[in-house]
This record gives sequence, structure tokens and C-alpha cells, in this order.
Amino acid sequence: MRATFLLAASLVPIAAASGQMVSAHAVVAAPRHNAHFAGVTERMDGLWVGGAVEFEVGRLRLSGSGMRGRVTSPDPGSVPKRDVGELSLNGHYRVRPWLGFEMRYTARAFSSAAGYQRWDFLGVGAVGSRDLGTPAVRAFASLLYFPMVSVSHQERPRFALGSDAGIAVAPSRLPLVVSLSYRIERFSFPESAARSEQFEALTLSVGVQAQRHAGRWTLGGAGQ
Amino acid sequence: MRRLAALVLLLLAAVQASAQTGRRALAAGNERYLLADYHRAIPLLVRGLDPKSGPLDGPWVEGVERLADVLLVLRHDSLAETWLRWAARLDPDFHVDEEVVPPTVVRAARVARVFVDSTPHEPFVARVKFDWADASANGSGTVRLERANIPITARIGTDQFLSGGESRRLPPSSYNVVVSAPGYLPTRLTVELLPGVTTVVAVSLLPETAGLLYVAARPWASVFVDGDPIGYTGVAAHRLVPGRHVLRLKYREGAPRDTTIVVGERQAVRLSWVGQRNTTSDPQLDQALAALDGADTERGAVLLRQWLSADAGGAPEGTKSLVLARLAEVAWSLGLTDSSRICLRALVQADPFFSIPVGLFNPDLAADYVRVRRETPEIAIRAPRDTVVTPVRDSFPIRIAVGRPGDVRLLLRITRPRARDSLLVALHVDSVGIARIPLTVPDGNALAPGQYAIEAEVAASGPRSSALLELNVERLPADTAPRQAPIPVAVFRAEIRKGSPSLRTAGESVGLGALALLVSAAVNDASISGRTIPRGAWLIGGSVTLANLALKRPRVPIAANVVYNEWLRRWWNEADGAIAAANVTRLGAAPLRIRSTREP
Repeated sequence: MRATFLLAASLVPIAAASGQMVSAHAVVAAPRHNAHFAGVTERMDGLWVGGAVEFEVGRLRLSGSGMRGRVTSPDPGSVPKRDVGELSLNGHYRVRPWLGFEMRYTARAFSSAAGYQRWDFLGVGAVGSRDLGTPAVRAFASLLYFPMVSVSHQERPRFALGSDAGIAVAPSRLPLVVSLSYRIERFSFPESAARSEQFEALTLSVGVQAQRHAGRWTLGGAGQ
Repeated sequence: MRRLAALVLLLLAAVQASAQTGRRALAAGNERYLLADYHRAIPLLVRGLDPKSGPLDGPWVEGVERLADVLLVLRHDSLAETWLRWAARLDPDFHVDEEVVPPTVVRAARVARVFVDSTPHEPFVARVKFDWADASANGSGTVRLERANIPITARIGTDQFLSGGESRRLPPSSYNVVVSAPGYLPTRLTVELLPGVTTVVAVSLLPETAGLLYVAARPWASVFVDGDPIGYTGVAAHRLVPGRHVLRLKYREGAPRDTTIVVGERQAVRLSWVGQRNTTSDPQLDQALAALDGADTERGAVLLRQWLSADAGGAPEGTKSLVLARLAEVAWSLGLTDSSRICLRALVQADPFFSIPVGLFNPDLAADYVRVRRETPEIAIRAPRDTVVTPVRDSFPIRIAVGRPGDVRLLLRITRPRARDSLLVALHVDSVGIARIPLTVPDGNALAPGQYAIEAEVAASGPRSSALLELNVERLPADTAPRQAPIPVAVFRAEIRKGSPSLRTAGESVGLGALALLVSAAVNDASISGRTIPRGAWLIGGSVTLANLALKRPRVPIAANVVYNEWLRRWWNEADGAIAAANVTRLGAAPLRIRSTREP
């Protein structure tokens, strides 16, 4: 989800990257958490809201985001509902107009009547993007590997991957950035634990950006 | 053989004797001078400068110049200065030709003139004559006091005393002489003693009871007392023996005016024939001018001085110049030639445009004014204070006045976009001139509105002088037509339409959508999510495909609409261009208001 709006922001025209740009985003997401344990699959859906800020200078973009929400099981009474909070920090370095490398740290916490659990994971990966007929509309897709994952009160996964794909619109005459993305994070635990989990989120982000030109900050994107 | 030698000697003596008389000696001296035979030139020039041998004309002046030059070359500076003072005192119009003579002579002549101007004498009381018989190149000079019918005594310098009829030999130089007698007014004069020349001082002292005559007249006139000329008006403090006198004023035009006056002992008689009195709006100044016109010369001079030191700055234009002119006239009438010239110089510097009121300056003073003006490096320019002109038809007149004549250059100073000077016109100005500045630039356009500065500088030998005038050029409103209104966007027809996507675009769109979908599908664990390809992946993949298809449709121009729009734009440009051209023409012919914002 964080990667969604971070990557969405990366879809603004490359020309702007030569300067400085800041943006603030409002984010709404529809997450799904699937956990398979001992032959039983547990699914929970919900709605999250949050915000993000981003600062870009040259080829480097730094961002941070925070979200909060709740996930519930479609079968009432089977699994207790959980409150979820998530904090994410992201660094992105663009090596080509269409290719960049990304490093992300995410801390996610679940709280329910059954207890408290926290996930911390660090991911690295690559992001590709491309204009769709106009610089104002870009598609992007990223693939991340999480080499460091820790889960409280539980054994750490042996393997974790993530992906994020979406489309972003940044009208040249408006200071808005709108993006729609879908991400998946997959965690495989050792066979002894007989457990695997997958987290998905469809995210819509709406942001306002400002750029610095000739020493002055002005609302608007690179097209202005 | 003896006869032949005697004949040759006789011939040589005859030639020498003829060369030594008067102007022939002068010519021979000039010839020697031109041959640089200075030692032989000196005695010939000395002999030729005898004032009784001819008029004090050009050759005589040239002789003085060359004698001074020779003496300066031979390091007899003091003697050269004495000769120059003698010449300047003898001939009030004596001036060396500064373009010809060496600078050392020019400087010495100027010093001599200043000295003579500062040591005037009363020509009606004392007269000086010269006996040139024994004039020589060196040696001492002789001063003789001519006998009078009363016992007179003269003091020469500080320690030499002579009685009437006595002579004294003294080194060549200038000497102050005071002649006095009991019961009579002493008189002072300065004489130059020249080598071998006898300077005879003849005096006719006035009794202590002499009266004073003051005469003011405008226009100026020549004044005669009992038939004897005493000079031009104004007359100030001219001493007269008590008794009846006939005074005659002879004007340049018209009948003379005779008046009989009776002068009492020590009485000041003031006579005034001033046709039109000067008046200003300043009571103090009017009082001073009235005193002068009433022949109350000393009081008028004091009042003028007071006014000048008190309020000259705020006086209306021309007032200060008038005061300086009147002061010059007063100083001249009092015999203070040097002070008179200082006033004249200040007058030129204060306002080179000032024209002397008709009839104010007598010929001597007017000649002095012309001379002083030509020696004073000064320039002023003037333009109409506020005028409206039509650029195409009119030019802008700049009036120029100079003291010393010279070539005047008028420069247009422009400070933006970069500082530079542009030469407008160059002309020779002798005294007053006028330059007409065109108001159109070479391409025919009128001078652009804005701030301009015009600098005038005169290129003459000696110090450079310049003057500045600032102009504010403003274009008066012209009846211009409004520009063509822009064509509303709605009037234009669409020139482009989106065509059907190409096969390549369709393939690319599907490929991009599939890629976005596969990235998600690759990570997805179908055993957990329950779907091989999650719904979100379908949504993103489909969105990418559709967006690429929609946005990458080819742009197909609509030829008919393009032609129509081009015709519309061309029509608009032509209509607007015609209006703009008409407006430019009208603006070019629009009057310009030009104000001179500062005058030097």
C-alpha cells in the first residue's frame, strides 16, 4: 500500500526530477490479509485510511507514510477483528527514466482481542515505469525481495516477496497526483511451521504537489 | 684709397642713421629679429617704438611683442615686463597676439595688463610724455617733473624726491609717483622708466576745494567740460575747479545737450540723463538702481554689493546678470578697470545668454566686455521650457551661448539600456548660436518618449567647459484605433481527430497490461489467495491496457478545418496589422510635449 502511493508519485514527469518537489497525499486502501495455517485459510478484509508525504530532489525520492484501519473476517465470529497500524519509509533512486531501485522499511502492527503482533520487514527491489501515450499518465510495476523480516511471538518467514503495479495520473496543468495501485506481499514460513501468509491491497491515492522553481515554491507539477 | 674708404663709411653711416629713425628702425629691428640676430635687434626695436614716430598700430604692437620676446630669451625678464607695462599703459587696447607670440610673452603680457589695470591715474590732472632721443637697449631711465606755476614736489618710489623742473636717473622699472603741493590735492600715478628714455611728468593739480562731478546718462554719451573731453558716461568723482562750467553731452545720434553748471567748493554735482530706468520687483534692488541712475554712484554700488551678497540666488532670471553689468559700469566709471573686468567675467560665467541693455555700456566698456567674454571659457544651452512639437514637421531648437568662441558638440546622453553618448550636432559658435535637433530617427520614427539629457561641450584651447540640459519627452494622446479583438476559441474548428488504434498500439497495450498483471500474479500464492490471478491484478492490468489504447490513438488532421482555421487566422492578422500600421502612423505624427527640466 505504501509502495503504491510512493510509486504513484514516481510517475510524475521525469523532467521535474531535476528540481525539487514535495507532495502530500491522502490514501484510502482496501486490504486483504490471507493466512494459511495447519491447512486452514483465514481471510480478512477491511478499509484503511492514511496519509503520505514525499520529497524529491534530483534522482532521489524519499517518502514516509502512515495508515490505520481495521480488518475483519467475512464470517462473523470465526476470527476476532483486528486493528491495524502501519508505518513505512521509502527511498527510491532513479537510474534511468524508466528504471529505478527502491529500498523500503515497513512496520505493521495487528491488535485484537487475541493479542498484539508486530511485523517488521526491509525490502529491496526494482521499479519500472512507462508513459501511456502522454507524460501525464504512467504505468508502473515493481518487484521487491524482503531479506529481513521479523514477526513478534512467531518464527520469522524463510522467504518473502512483494510486488506493486499501478497507474498514475499527474495532469500538467493541475497540482494533483492521482494513482491506483495493487500490491501483494507474500511470506513463506518454514515447513515446520506449516504456515504462509499473503497481504494484498488495492490503493487509491490523491495528492497535491508543489515544486521549487527559480527559488520559489509553486503549486503544480512538472508540466507547469 | 682714403677717399674710397671715406665714401664707404659715409654710406654706411647714412644707412644706419635712416634705419634708426622711427618706423624704419622698427622695420629693421623686426628684420633682425626674424634672423634671430637678437643683440642687433634690440636697439633697433627700442628706437622704433618711439610713440611719436607713428600710430600705435599693428607694427608697433608687433615691435613690442618681439622686443619682449628677445628680452625674455636673453633673461632680461624684469626689463621685458617693464616694456610690456609701458605699452599696456600707453595703449589701453594693447594686447599681444596670443596665437602667434610665444607663451612666455603671453604670460608676461597678461601680468603686465593686470598690473596696469590695478594702477590707474587721473589723466586730467597728470600727463606723461616721453623723450626718446637717447633711448637705448640698456642703462638707466630718467624721470623729470615738469615745472608748474606752483611749487610742486614729487615722490618717486619710496625715497626719491623731485621738485618741479628736476630730473633723476633711475634703473628701468615701474615707479609710483605722488605729486603734491600745499593747498592742492595730491595726485598719484605710476610710470615706467625705460633705458635711455626720459619720462616727463606734467601735472596740473586741482585745489583742495575742487568739486566732484557725477554724470549718469543712458544712452551713453561723450562728456565735454568747457570744451575739453573727459570721457564717456558714466562719470564719477571727476574733479572740477570751483566755478561756472559748460557741460556738453554728445550722443552717438541726435543733437548734443549743453548744460551750464556752477560748482561750489568741495561740492558734489550729480547730473542724470537716464531715459528709461531699470526696475525690478525687488525694492532693495530698485533702490540701488535708482541711486545709480541718479548719479549717486558710490551709494548705488554699495547697495548693489549688498544685494548681490544677500539674495542673488533666489532672484528672477537675468537679475543677477543685470546687477553684475551695472557693477561693471560703476567700477569702470570710478576708474577701477580691474574690478570692472572681474564683474564682466562673473557676468559671462553667470549667464552667457545675457544681452547688455542697449545704451548701458559705452564703447570702451563694451570693447572690454567683448574681450573679457572671448577670454572666458563658458557655455550654456537653453531649450523651450515647455513646448509641443510635431516630430515629422518640426525640429527642436537648442540655443547655445559661449564665452570663448569654439566648436560646440551637442551630445544626446542615453542611460538605458546602456550608457552611451550620441553626437547630435557639431557647430562653431562665436557668441550665440542655435542648433535644431531633428525629432525623428533615421528610420523615420519619432523620438521615443522618455527622459533625455543633452550635453553641450565646447572644444577650445584652454579649460574645457560643458553644460547639461535634461529633457522630458512625452507623447500627447493620439486618436488610435483599438486593436482587433481576438477570435473566440469556439469559432475555430477542430483540426485533429483521434483515429482508431493501430495494431501495434493494441499489441503494446495488451502487453503492458499483461506485464502489470503478471508482476502481481508472479508474487501471488494461489493456494492462499484462492485465485490464480487476483482481482486487483486484473483491474490494474485492464486499466493500463485501456489507458494506453485510449491515449495512444493516432491524431488524424482534418484538412478542411485546418484550411479554414488558417484562413481565419490570416484574415485576423491582416485586419489587426492594418490597424497597427495605421496606429503607428498616427503615433508618429502625434505631437510631442517636450519640457526642459533643468537648465545649467
